[in-house]
Amino acid sequence: MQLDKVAITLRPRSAWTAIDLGFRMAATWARALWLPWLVLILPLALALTLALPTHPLVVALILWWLKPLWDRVLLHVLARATFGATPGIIDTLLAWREILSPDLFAQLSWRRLDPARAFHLPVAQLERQSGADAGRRRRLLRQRSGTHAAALTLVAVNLEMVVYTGLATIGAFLDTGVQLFPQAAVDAFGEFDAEWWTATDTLLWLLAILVIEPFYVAAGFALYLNRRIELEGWDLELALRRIGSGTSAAGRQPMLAWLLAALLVGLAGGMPDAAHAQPEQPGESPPTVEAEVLVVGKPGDEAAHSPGWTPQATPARAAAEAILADPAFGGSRERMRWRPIGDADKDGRRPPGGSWLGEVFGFLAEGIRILAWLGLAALIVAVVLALVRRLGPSPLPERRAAPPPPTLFGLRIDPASLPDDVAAAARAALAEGRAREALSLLYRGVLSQLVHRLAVVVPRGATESEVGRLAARTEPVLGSFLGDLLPAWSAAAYAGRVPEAAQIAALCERYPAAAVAPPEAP
Amino acid sequence: MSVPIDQRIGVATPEGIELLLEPAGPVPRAIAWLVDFLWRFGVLVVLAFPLMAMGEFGAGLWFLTWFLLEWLAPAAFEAFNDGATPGKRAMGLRVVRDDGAPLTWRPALTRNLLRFADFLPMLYLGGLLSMLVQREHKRLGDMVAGTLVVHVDTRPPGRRIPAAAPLPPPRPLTLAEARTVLDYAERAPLFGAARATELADLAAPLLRPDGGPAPEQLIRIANHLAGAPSHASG
Repeated sequence: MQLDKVAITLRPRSAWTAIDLGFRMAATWARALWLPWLVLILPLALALTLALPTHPLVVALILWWLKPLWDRVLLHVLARATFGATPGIIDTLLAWREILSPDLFAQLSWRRLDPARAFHLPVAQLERQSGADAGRRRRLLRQRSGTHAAALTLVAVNLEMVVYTGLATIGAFLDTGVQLFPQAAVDAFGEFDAEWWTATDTLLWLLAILVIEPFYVAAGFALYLNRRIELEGWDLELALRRIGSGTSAAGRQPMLAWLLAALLVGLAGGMPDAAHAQPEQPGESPPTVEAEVLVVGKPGDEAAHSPGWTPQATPARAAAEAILADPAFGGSRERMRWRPIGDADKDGRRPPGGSWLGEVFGFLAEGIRILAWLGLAALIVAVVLALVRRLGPSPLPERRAAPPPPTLFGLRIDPASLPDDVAAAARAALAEGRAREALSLLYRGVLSQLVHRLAVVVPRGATESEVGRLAARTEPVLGSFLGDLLPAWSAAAYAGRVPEAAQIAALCERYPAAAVAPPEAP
Repeated sequence: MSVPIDQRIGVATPEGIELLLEPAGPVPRAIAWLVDFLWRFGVLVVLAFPLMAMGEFGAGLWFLTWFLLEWLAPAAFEAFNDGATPGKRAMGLRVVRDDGAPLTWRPALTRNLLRFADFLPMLYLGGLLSMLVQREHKRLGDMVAGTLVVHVDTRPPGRRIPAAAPLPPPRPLTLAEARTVLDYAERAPLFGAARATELADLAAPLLRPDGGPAPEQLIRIANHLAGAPSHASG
């Protein structure tokens, strides 16, 4: 099992975009998803219809109630395709034992109406967790994506209804006297008679489930993956491995390997290389060991789906328990809640005499009264603040000009960094043959004067020639000097063409006199 | 293995820059549609009381309002409100042109008037199927108008680098490496302690043997990269 084989882009996403990713996944792996599922559901639908020819609604309800079962087939394909091994239809059908194994009964009974069904399914089916551990895990996963998972289910239900009513409407248009298509959707607001749900309705509903369910399961799975990426930094693991490539963690067995192995527990038999977490040490540990690590729960379940399981694999179990003890698998959350104080008794005893409804309203009124007082206080504070601001002598401190920057164009231009007599220093540098430095000194001197003495504000991102124009506008002497200096400086600095010494010397002579005076602080 | 699946698409601009757009799928768009439907419905209900009191003239006005709200209000919102109806805004969506440019009134009107093509004859089934099979999740109106519905802000919510004393990395980092370290620091609080350590240990070349716990070192390096003020300069 290697993260770099993952067939989706690893990146923490917002929950909605994760759901969109799920829709993309379903569309991409459409054939692998729909085929095995159709093979299962169509014969069953046919058999049920033949068995209960007079009760099409019952057939539809049975098919609908068995959705968690279909979801498991879909998730089986999705999980494997995500990790780079899209299974064929035969592989999928042969894996029925592990597809059905943990927690199916719960999902078909008391958790059938779980609003986050698709989002929770991987915990049971891929992580193979059940009982209290699974509950903790689901709570942790829900912390940031629970609302989105529920919204996804709600929307999926409605999309299903859109498909069903849409198809039924076509039926109504095609209806030319022969009762080929049902009246149910068309006459939804009409009277219901005994025939309001026909076998055709069942067929249309089944079609709607067929269209929407893979998208729904894939979106729930994508939401789940996104949460795992968020909690475990899968993308970061790849990037950090690149930083440390070759030198780091060669001998370590990352915890993620166990988690991923748990995610893909079923691959241990069918795809040994994919179940390997550490490509650096091939053959050191049989893949089944990793696959079993996270199987914690009731021993009876484990024996059922993992033939190589030995209950005395205690180090692995200890490691799994250590992982489960980690705060990542569930922690405490602080929640602030208002509680009535004052005359309400601590143990919630009501004073005798008052009616129950009256107390509720009394409590509400008290709350509103407190809110009103708080609101009034806030209003008064706001008014006072506004008055102080408007009428006060010097309401806001005057906006002080920002101190002039110490550098411009990456050159230091604060007066302290420059010699007292710039022109003399430039001449000296020129005499020693450092023509470039001489030019640089002159240029920095001029800029320093401009910014620090004349307090010209140079906008961020201004170019040299823009500064030249600014200078010309501020002080003509400085401007004309800068106008002559700039071409020479640009040629030297950017093109590496240092001008003639005579030209530089002339520039030194013309260096504006103001620079000789020590610049005053602005 | 082929190219990894991603819901986001790249649009090349004439300047040779690739813009990354994240087209919104049916689920967020359906919720946005519901929000829009509800506010329109609410407005109509509220208007019904005074207008019905005005008799037939009021009823006429009411139907006119209904027509405008149904067909023109969404287009107006999209054209003049940064491509978002109130529902889209609530869901963080906006409509842009295919090349990522802002929406103008003409495509806005087109895509909204063509909503009937998605709606009829199958009560939005056509639009839904069109959205399901296309990578850009376009409904028919989007295809004609050349528009896309995209997520505005696709970053996961609220992340900051935990404050720590900055520590320069032992060697200059490449851009990708610096991004990785910053990303790690932002997300480290979400990982369990063991997982945070395990991840940080992977970046061994950036860690000093005597510099304390690995996650802390990486977070300090991230503070350095992010330009956090050191203690000396305040």
